[in-house]
Amino acid sequence: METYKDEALNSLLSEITPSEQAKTDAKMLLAVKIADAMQAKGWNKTRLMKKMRKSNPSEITRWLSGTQNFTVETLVDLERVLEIKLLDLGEPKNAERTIKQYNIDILVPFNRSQQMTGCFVSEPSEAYTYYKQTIYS
Amino acid sequence: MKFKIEKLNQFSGNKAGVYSVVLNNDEETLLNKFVRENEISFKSETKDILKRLYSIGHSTGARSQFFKEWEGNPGDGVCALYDKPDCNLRLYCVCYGTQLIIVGSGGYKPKTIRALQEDAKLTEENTLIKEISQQITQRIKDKDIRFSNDYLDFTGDLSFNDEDL
Repeated sequence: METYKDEALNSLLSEITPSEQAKTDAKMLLAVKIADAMQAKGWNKTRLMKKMRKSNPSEITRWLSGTQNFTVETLVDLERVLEIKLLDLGEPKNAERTIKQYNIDILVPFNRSQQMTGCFVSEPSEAYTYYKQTIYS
Repeated sequence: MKFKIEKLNQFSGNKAGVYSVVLNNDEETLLNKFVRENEISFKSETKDILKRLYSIGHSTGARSQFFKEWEGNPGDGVCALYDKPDCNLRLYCVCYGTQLIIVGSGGYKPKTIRALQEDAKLTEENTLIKEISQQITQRIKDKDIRFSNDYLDFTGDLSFNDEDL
């Protein structure tokens, strides 16, 4: 396959940092999520415009174009009307978690005449088997 | 018109195959020409367009919501990548579903004009992409150009010569 130098194109492309690209990706993926949610609800742009209390349909077109730098306020409103999650506000990664630990000892008596798979008891005639279980929550 | 369509590996990914056009025996694609013509006066806008093309190839696919449709003849797939409200660049493309896109050229579109016909340069670029689309469509109809199994590539004869007209 013939390869074209496309120097101007490749030079400008090399100036794009991963951080810049990630921002564009995010804007476009948000637009995709909004469009998919509209489709799932059977809404057109006018319906979303009314639900968002906007007056200009071109604003919705811009939101869907992947060029919009959304404010948090707009994203929260979109989450509410479209019933989707656009902001990931889960727990911070380094937050301390409280782990409760319960140790439970279970004492099960049985006598030697009983057969237990994989278990052999000789003396005394009655033995106790301990099952130890630790539960984390 | 003699031209061929070339895959741009810099932009193509698992969401869309991104192609451009090489005219006659030029040594550059139409997208390179577009960048060369605009990178001085509209550098950030031009960069933004390249970032969006990369996202289309790798993250989203060429979804119709990203394009201003009906920029050509009915059904020919000619569209333009939306420009930002504070930007003035128009880039013409042809979309084949969401997985294949051919990027042409374009230019500066002042907000003071509404129709591309009001600008000679845009009219020229729009006419060119419509002709290219028409010839590719004919090849697809004739089954001389097909889509790969994953719909991310064109296969077949991607070179067009004057005698094909």
